[in-house]
Formats: sequence, structure tokens, C-alpha cells
Amino acid sequence: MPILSCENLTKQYGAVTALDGVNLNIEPGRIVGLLGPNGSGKTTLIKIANGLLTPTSGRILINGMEPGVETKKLVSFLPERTYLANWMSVKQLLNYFQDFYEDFDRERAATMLAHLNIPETQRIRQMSKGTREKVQLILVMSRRARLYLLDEPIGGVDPAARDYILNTIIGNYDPQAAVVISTHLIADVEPLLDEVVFIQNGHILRHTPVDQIREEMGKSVDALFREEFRCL
Amino acid sequence: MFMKLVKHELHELLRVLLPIFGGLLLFAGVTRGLIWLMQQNDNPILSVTGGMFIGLFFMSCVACVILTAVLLLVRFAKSVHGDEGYLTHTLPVGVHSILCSRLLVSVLFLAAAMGTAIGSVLISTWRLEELSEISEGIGLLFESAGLKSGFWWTILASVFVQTVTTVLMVFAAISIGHSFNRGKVGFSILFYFALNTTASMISTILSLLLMNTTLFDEAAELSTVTSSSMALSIGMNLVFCGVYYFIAWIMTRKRLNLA
Amino acid sequence: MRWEFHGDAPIHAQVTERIERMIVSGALKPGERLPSVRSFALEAGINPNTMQKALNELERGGLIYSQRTAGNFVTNDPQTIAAVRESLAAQTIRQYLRGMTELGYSPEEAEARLRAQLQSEGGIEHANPEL
Repeated sequence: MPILSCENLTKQYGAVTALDGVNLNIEPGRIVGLLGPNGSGKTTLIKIANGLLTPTSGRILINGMEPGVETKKLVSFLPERTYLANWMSVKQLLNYFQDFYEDFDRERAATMLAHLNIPETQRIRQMSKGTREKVQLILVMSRRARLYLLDEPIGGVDPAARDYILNTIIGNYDPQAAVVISTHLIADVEPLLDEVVFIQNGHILRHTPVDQIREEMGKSVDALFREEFRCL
Repeated sequence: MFMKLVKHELHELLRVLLPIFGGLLLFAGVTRGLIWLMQQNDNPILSVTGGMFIGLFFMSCVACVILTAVLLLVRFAKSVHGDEGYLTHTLPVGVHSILCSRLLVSVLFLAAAMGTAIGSVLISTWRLEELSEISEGIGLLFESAGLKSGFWWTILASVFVQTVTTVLMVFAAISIGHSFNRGKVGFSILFYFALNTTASMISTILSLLLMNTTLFDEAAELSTVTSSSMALSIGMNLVFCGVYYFIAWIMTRKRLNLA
Repeated sequence: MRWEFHGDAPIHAQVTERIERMIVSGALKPGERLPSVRSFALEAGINPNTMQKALNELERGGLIYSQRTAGNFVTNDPQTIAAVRESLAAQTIRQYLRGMTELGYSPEEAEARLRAQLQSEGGIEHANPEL
């Protein structure tokens, strides 16, 4: 059974159609790139999967269930923006995640934080932007979730932080779980991906294994993306 | 899960509000000392500055309650409809739990703020004989109005329901205001006044309609009229509570619009 | 640190070749135990599924063998390594010739040019392929 499944998923904001009849299945064990230009519907799709938005029509199922309390136990979400309260210390955040998420592996998070020399007493407001993003990612990836939804995890961070983030995603790979990475920085994430989903104007243009693109078309996903979205 | 939400809200707000409450109580102690000093010495400079100080203290008591209310509504807006909402709404809890935990904690802290303010006033001026005089005075007032001592409870209930109603009205206004893409704060304030005006219009019309019923007969005793109108206002507020809660719930559940 | 990949071939094929070169050059010794799939994938900066695919290919070619619990090991068979070395050499030469053809050299001219280069530099150092 797919861990994420969209059936004719449509979302309209007033007159604007953000998602238009999207059909998509994502299987466990896969790392999937959700690729598209800004405003193509990536974030809308991720927000609906998290229950932060309700679809206009069609439906989305997480492990066979509509988004709700039960699916939130299975989904670990990294939003595009910093959402951690500034005043909180690392330790308080660990307590918070441990309190609310049964699948939170505190030891794993503590190990990763120790590797970065981030003391648990440090507060979010004392951190640089790059460190904040890393802490957020550590918290999100330390859950033993079934579906990780990462919205622009490497946007706006320096190359060293980018490598760290990508390595954290690889290091936490779990064959039982799917990872969806939305980004427009394709060259950086391409070696991580099993499959890519191209999305434009709320339509899925393609959903293909990366190997197939390279084998059949003899080009990288990045090159293909540039071609298919050239006119934009 | 509900209790965990309450625990975290309490913790977060205690961090901010405890120093404020503590500061006010300290201020009250200092004021009390100053009053004593003024009574001992007949110094014109001391009485002028002391008078100003005491005035400042009484303003602080009011400010404490207002500041608490403002911090509570900012906290609600930030954690439910602001960036922190990304975390709040991806926790495995329902919208009812989120709203009810905020409501409970807000009412608790508003009560604490009012308690602290009243307590501070008592600390600053309190003398045992005065306290008993005050309570006697109030007792006499009630008696003259023909009210029973149980009326205290009616007043408390009324204040409680009024507080809950106000909190829910603010939650509803913020939830509507934040469904707009721009001017979230402006729309929140606008809808606060809109809800407020609507509510007072409805209560005025209802009161006018009920004026002519036997309850409010000219012949009726003052006590009956007072109790009846109290009960009526509590009842109306309860209905408003339900409506505001529903608005806040539906806007958060269906029309959440995080930036 | 992270491995670089070009756009022409699937990443797993590039990973396979890279590990072949590591074995042929001696960076990975015969009989040596390979890192776990996860840490090898981390080192390369790639999806663990892709690394697994590459290792499967190498196993099919006999260059590595897996022991159920202990992990993957480089083969101890010098003939297998020599054969891979030979095929990588052929591939490198083909690349050279293709490059020279693009520059307008005939195969004979390319050969003569290579000889001249070797003479002027006194023979290039026998270097390991870049890792």
C-alpha cells in the first residue's frame, strides 16, 4: 500500500487553482524529489498532506487515512520556514518532541546535536540561521516516522550546511519510510533520489525513477528539468 | 495529549507572566512601605513624590491585567495562526484540544492577573479593621438591595462566564482575521469590533424584548430584577461562547492560512 | 568529499565504476571489508538504494562477495580484478581516442602523438587513478 496517495486532489484559493486533479502514489522506502518552479503547487501539496489545508475536492490518504490526528503520528514535517519558538532551548525542544511524538528517538537527536557541538542549553535565538535549520532537521529526522515531508530543506543555507542536511537525510534512511523532498535545487539532491515528480501549475508532469531518466534519455534530472521548464 | 498541551502552554506563559505578577506584588510591598513612611513624616516633597508613586502603582495594577490579556492573545495568534502554528498543527492532537487548552490557560492566567491586581491593592493599603469594614459595607449594600449572601456566587459565575466569552470572542476574531492573506492583524482587530458590536446589539434587542415580560414587571422587587438580569446575561454569554467557539474551530480546522 | 557525478549515465553505474577503480588501484585491497551500505552511501552522498544497486552489480561481476552477516568484501581472486582492470583500461583508451578524433586526429596520428608526448616528458609517472 502506498504511504501517500492522492486521488484527483484539487485545491483552489478563490479563483487560483494551486492543485488540479493530482494523482500520485508514493511507496515506502523511496526518496522522492518533488520538483517544480515556485508557485507550482509543491508547498500546497505538502500542507494538505499535513492537514494544514483542506482540499477543495478529491482526497489525499496517508497510509490509507485522511489527514488527522492518526496520520500526524506517522508524518514528520519540515516546513520551509523556521517555526521553533525563539526562547526555547535545545533541551526544551527535545522534551517537547518527546512529549508529543511517540516515535521520537531522543538519543538519536542528542547524538546528532553532540556531533555538531550544539549544547542542549543553547536557545534558538542564539543560533545562526544555518544552525537553526540543522536543529529543525535533526528534530524532524529523529522521529521514526513513516513519511517525511521536507519542504525546501536546503534553500538558503551555505554549502557546508547543505551537505550536512543531505547527509542527515541519507544517514536516517529507513526502508519502511518514504521521504519527499520539495526543492528547486535539483543538482544538489539528485544523487539522493529514487524518483522525481515534476509539478507545474498544479499538474504532475511526470513521475519517473531517476535511473530511467538517465538510462533512457542520457541526461541528468537537472538537465531534463531545465529543458522541460525552459519556457518559464 | 490535552494535558500535555496545557502543561506546555502553562510553562511558556509562566515564563513571561510570573515576573510581571511578582514585580507587581513587590511594587505593592514598596508602596505599602512608602505609605507608612508618609504617615510618619510630614514632608511636602515626600508626600508629592509619594502621591505620584502611589498613582503609578494603581495604574500598574490595571496595566498588569491588560498586559496579561495582550500577551495571551499574542501567544494565541503566534502559536495557532503564526509560524509556530506549523508545529502546533502537526502535533498529533485535534483542533478541539488545541483551542480548549488555550482557553483553559487563558482563563486561568486572566484570573491570576485579576487576583494579583486585587491582592496588590490589598497589600499596599490593607489593615485588618479596614478589610472587615469593607466586607461589612458590601454586606450592607447587598442587604439594602434585598440580595442574599449567595449572590456572591452569582457574581463570580457571571465574571467567569464573561471572561470565557471575551477570550473566545478574541480567539474567534483572531481566527477570522488570520484567514486573510494580508493585514492579518488589522482584520483581527476589525473582526473583534464587529463581533463585539454584533453581540451587544443582540443583547440589547433581547433585553428590550424581555423588558415587557412579567419578570421585569414594575411591581417586581429589585432583587428579583437583579437576579433575573444576571441570569439572563449569563445565559446569553453562554450562547455567545458556543458561537465564538464554533467560529474559532471552523476557521482553524477548515480555513487555516499559515504564511 | 562527496562524489561527483556526470549526467550521461545512471548514478548507480557511475558508482559501480568508481568502486571498480578503487579496487583496481588498490585503494580497496583484495579481501578488504567494504563499509556498510549506509555509511558507504553517506560517504558517496547518494541514496542507499543506489549504493545497494551498485554493490549488487559488483557482486554479479564477482568483484565483491557478500557474507550474510559480516557484510561485503572485495574479492581475493586476482584474475577477476585483472579482468576489470583490463576492461577499465580499454574504456580509458577508447575515451582518449574519442577525444583525439574530436580534435581531428586519425587513430594513427593519435598513437604517434601519444608516443611523442611520452618521449618529451620522459614517461609519465605511473599514477593511481584519482580517487
